[in-house]
Order: sequence, then structure tokens, then C-alpha cells
Amino acid sequence: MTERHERCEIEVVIYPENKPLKVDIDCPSISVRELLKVLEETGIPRDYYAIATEGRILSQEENVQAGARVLLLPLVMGG
Amino acid sequence: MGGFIGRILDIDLTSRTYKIHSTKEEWVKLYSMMGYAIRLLYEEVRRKGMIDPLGSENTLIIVAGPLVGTYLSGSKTAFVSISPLTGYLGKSMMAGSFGTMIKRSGFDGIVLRGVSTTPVYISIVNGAVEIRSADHLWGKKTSETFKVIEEEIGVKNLKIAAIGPAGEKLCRFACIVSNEYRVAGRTGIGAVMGSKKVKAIAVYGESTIEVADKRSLSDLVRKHGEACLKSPRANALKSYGTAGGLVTYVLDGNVPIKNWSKGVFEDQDPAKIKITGQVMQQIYKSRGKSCGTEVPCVIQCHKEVYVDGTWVKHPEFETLALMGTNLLINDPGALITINRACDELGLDTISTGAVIGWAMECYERGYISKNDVGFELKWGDVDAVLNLINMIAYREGIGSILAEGVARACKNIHPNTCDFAPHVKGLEVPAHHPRRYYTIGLVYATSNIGASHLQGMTFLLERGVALLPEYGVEEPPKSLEDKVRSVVITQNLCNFLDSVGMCKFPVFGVIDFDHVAKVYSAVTGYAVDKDEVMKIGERVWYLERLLNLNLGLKVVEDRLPSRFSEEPLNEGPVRGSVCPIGDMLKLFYEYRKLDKKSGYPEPAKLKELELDTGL
Repeated sequence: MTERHERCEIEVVIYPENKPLKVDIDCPSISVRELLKVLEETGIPRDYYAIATEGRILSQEENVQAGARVLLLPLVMGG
Repeated sequence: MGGFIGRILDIDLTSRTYKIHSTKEEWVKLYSMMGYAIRLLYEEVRRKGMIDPLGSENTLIIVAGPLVGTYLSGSKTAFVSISPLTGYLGKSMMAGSFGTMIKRSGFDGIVLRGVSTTPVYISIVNGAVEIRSADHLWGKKTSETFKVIEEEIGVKNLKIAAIGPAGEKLCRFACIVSNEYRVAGRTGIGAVMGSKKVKAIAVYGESTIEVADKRSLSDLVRKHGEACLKSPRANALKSYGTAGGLVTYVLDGNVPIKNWSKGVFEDQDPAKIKITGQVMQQIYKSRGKSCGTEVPCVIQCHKEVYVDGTWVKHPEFETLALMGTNLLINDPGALITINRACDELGLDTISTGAVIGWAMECYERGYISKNDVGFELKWGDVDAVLNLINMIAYREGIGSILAEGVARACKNIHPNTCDFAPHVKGLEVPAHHPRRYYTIGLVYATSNIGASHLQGMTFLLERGVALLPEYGVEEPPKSLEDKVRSVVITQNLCNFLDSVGMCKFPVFGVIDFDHVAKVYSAVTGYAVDKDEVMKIGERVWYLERLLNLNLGLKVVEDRLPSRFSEEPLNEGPVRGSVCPIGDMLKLFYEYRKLDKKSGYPEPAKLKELELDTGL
């Protein structure tokens, strides 16, 4: 039997402009690694950005649930 | 020897005389230039035995490596001495054009020995050396000092490195500030200069710095410039400077909050955090300033903001973290003011922020009182911080105790307060968090100058934004073994970059070390590959280690404050995490082939690095 995927979306807010970006995903969730891959198609290099929610950066292995609102932060690694 | 001038200026301040020595090619080949200065210092220690860092027997050596003034981002001048904070090796790298001018004036470096009886400043214009009175400058802040010296020497584009009142008063974490407002910030180098009664060094030169293969070098500069423009990391630094990292680091758990005792800043809500580079550049007009004069850097991470009709330095990430998140200050204007005050007084913002954070915890826990300080010392109180900064610089009241650094101050205030004094070997801990990035804990514990993030920028590797496939680091290190290995690799590479005078920002995550090796070969004419680059850096690390062992370093001093290894936080992104420093140190000693009891490197290792003879 083929698993049926419902299309859902999450909202990615790009810091510092706080510009919201709707991303379609297969319900019920998407891993951070996959989300960054999707975002890379919009010109956001995946190795240089992080996804944060609830006051912390998520690891690549964590999942973001459909309907969530997450933050995209640049990894300015210096200093 | 392309990239090297071949002459070193050696000034005896006691007799007010100077000599010019030839730069030893053998040492240059072995260590490059910062390593050369460390070898010189090693010889001094061997000859004199124990050295009082603030006594006449200490030597301050300032050198500019072969890439300084010859290559893109070759902007780092090394200041090397025995540190008054640690009693061991002290070194600090200053960005900007000061080193280029030393070389264009005809020298690879300047050695300062002895002590002047009265304040002086040193003028070096096109190779002409003058030791001038600085009686009229003593007590002045840095900006006034620059103005007077610029008028007195009257040469356009003069580069000046000066101390402020903190260096004069021998505050042990005083820094040296340039008239481009770049600093040799760490390890108390400013106090060493102050102890010699040298207020400033002013240099100007017009001679050309020759390189071995100009044509190849032009091609390498072009390729590197293109790599910077394509690199997301370099572009992020170009946009916001290091300050742009603050918001991510807060959410990553990679900052000090309330003297490392809290895990949450402003509810971890980016909308509430006002001291990020991004927010500050929305409030203030800003511009980037390039390091270097001959080959300007394209990244321009050094930012300035326009405040009250004048351009002033934008606080760097380290300053925003140590003075901001650490002290619970979330006011961008206040942090610009604090940053300016430290530059004017000649104070290292990292150590100053760490010392004040510790003092605030002492106050909160009742170890010091309002009577001791003269006012309330509460978290987030900007006026209290500014008052304390002045008291430290001028050694007034409790400021005189704090000017000794946390390692000494905690013994004076109460031994219990040493439990939360953030330092390694006496050097205060900078902003990157050992509970978050375990590798940086090991970097702090084993750095030859004490807690310094720039002696191995391993957080770049752990985060995965700068891997080193050319050295076998193809993915972020996960196991403790891989983490230790990445520390050793980056310690060596950072030492190489420091020794040749190259900034680290346009390298890690931007261009590989095969390219860096080609650059070094084109500048100097010495044919090296990436393995030889690693070996030079490794050799310098072991030379530093030997210097410290000769100065009495003990194995127990390779440590991390227990707050990071024994006290987990109960909130925030690093909740529950502690740095497994004990296990990492064991692996590090094995990897570095250090004796577990004495800390000395195995003879075979020294032989492999050609450090077995003459040392």
C-alpha cells in the first residue's frame, strides 16, 4: 500500500528583515536538514544558515512540524 | 627571502640606544615571523631565567610576517612578550596597517628591551629612529595621544600603536590600540609597554616590500578575492562584521550570560535582542573599513557606526558578548560607549567584561559590598560598568584589585570566589562557550597563552561552516577523538596564519590551505605545500609549549574553570551540558605526545619538528 502524503506548509521567517516565506512540505513534518535543502533552491546556502525556534537553534536531525513558524538565521561565524 | 625585509630594530630603552640586526634566515624558515619572535623570547628566558613580566628584564617583540603588506588580508602584526596576566607566553595580533608600515620603514620587527626612566615614544620614519620624550603625553587617552603625535611628526598616513592610562597604570589586561582603532587586545601586552614607559610607537615608510614571484601572487590574490565574494561566510562578515553573529550565537547557546551562570538572554527572543550587528546597523549608519594598504581586504569585517556626527568603531562580537549578554546589557548605544571607553583607556574588552561580570557575581553573592565599590554593582547597570571601567584603568579603589585580573583578584576578595572566576592560566575566558562547543573548551585549556578563542577556531568545524578536507576533516567532528584531532589541527593552522601575518577570517570556510601554501611560496620563494604549512604551525605550538615549561608551567594548569565542566545550566540551549574536559585532555596529551606528569613533549616529537637541537 502506498503511503499518502498530504501537502502542508510551514512559515520560515528570515532574520533580520523578518520576511516570512511559506514552504510546502509533506505532512506531518520535515527534518531541518531537508528544510535547508528546500531553502537552498531559493538561494539560501544550507551550510551557512540555521533554523531556530523556541529560543534555540535546531539540529539538522530534528523535525519541524507542519504549521510551525521557524526563524532562519545566518551563521556569521567569526570573532 | 621575499616578504621579509631582513632587518630587526632592537631598542634598549634603559640606555636609549638601538642596534639593527639581520633577520636570521634559518629561524624564518623554521617558524616564519611570529614564531621567530617566540624563539627570540625563548632565548631571553634561557639566558635570564624567570622573568618578571613588568620588570626591566622582560622584552616586547613586535613583528610583521611575510604576508603583511604583500597579500590580501595579510594585516596581522604580532605583539609577543611574557604576559603579566599569566607569567607565560603573551601574544596578541593587531589588524590594520601598523605592521605594513614597520616593513615599509625597513624592518621585519621591533624589539623593546629595558625600561626608560621617563615616558617616551618612538618615531620610525623611513628607517630613521628617534626616541622622543612623552612627558606631555603621559596620562592622555589614546585619541588625544594620536592627535598630538600626528601633529608632532607631521607625516600623512603615519601609523601609531599606543597605550592608554590603563597601560601606564600597569593594569594587567591593558591593551595596545592603533590609530586605526585596531587593538593588540589580549594577554596584557599594553601593561608591558607601560612598564617600559613607552607611550607609543609611530611608524611610516615608503619602501617597497619585495616578493619572490609577483606574477603568481597576483593570480592568487585574484582567486582569493573571488572566493571571498562567493563565500556565504565571508559575505555575512562583510555585511555585519563579527557583530552579525551575536543573535545566532545567543540562540545556539554560545555566549556568556551572567558570568556563565545563566542560559537565557532576553527570553531567547531575537525580536528582543537589540545588540546584534543587524539591529545596530538598522539604528546607525554604518560602513566597512578594509585592513591593509597595499592589498586591501575585500571582506571589511571591521565596521564603523556614525554616532553624534562622527564615525566610531562598531563593537565586535566578543565585546557585545562579554559586555552585553555577560553583564545583561541589551542597549546598543551603551555598548558603543563602553567600547569607546575601553579603546580610549587602553583596556581589553574581553578581559574587562569578564572581570566586571565576575565582580557583579561577587556583589550579588555578598563577597563585596556597596561600601567596597562605592556604588551598587547590579547586573545591567550601564553607569556602574562605565564607572568601574574608569576605576580599573586608573587603579582607583576596588578598581586596583580588579586591574590585577580575575585570577589574582579572586584570591584577594575571597578564595571561594575563585570557583567562579573565568580564566585559564590567568587569561580571562572569551565569549565562545565550552558547554556548547566542547572543542573550544579544550582550545582554552591547552592554548599556550591561556583562554583564547583565536588559538584554534574549532567552533567553525563543530558547526560545520569550515571543514578542512585537505587535512582529512570532511565532516563536523562528533566523537571525542575527532574533536581532539580537530583542536590539534586548528591550533597548528592558527599558529601558522599568525606567524605569517594572515587574518583567519578569509581562510577558514573560504579557501583551502593548498592555496595558502601557494601564497606563502609565491611571497617568500620557499616552496611549501599544505603539509609544510601544518608543520610550521605545529613547530611554533611546541616552541611556545617549551617556552612555557621553561617558565614553570605545570600540567595542572592545562585546565578549564570548573563552572564549564561541573556545573550544568538548567535552562536554555545548553541545558544539562558540561564540557568533558578531563577525557579530552587525556586524548590531547596522547595526540600531542606530551608526558602526562611533566607536560614535556616526547624527544621523538621534538626531533621530528627540528626542535631537538639548540633549544
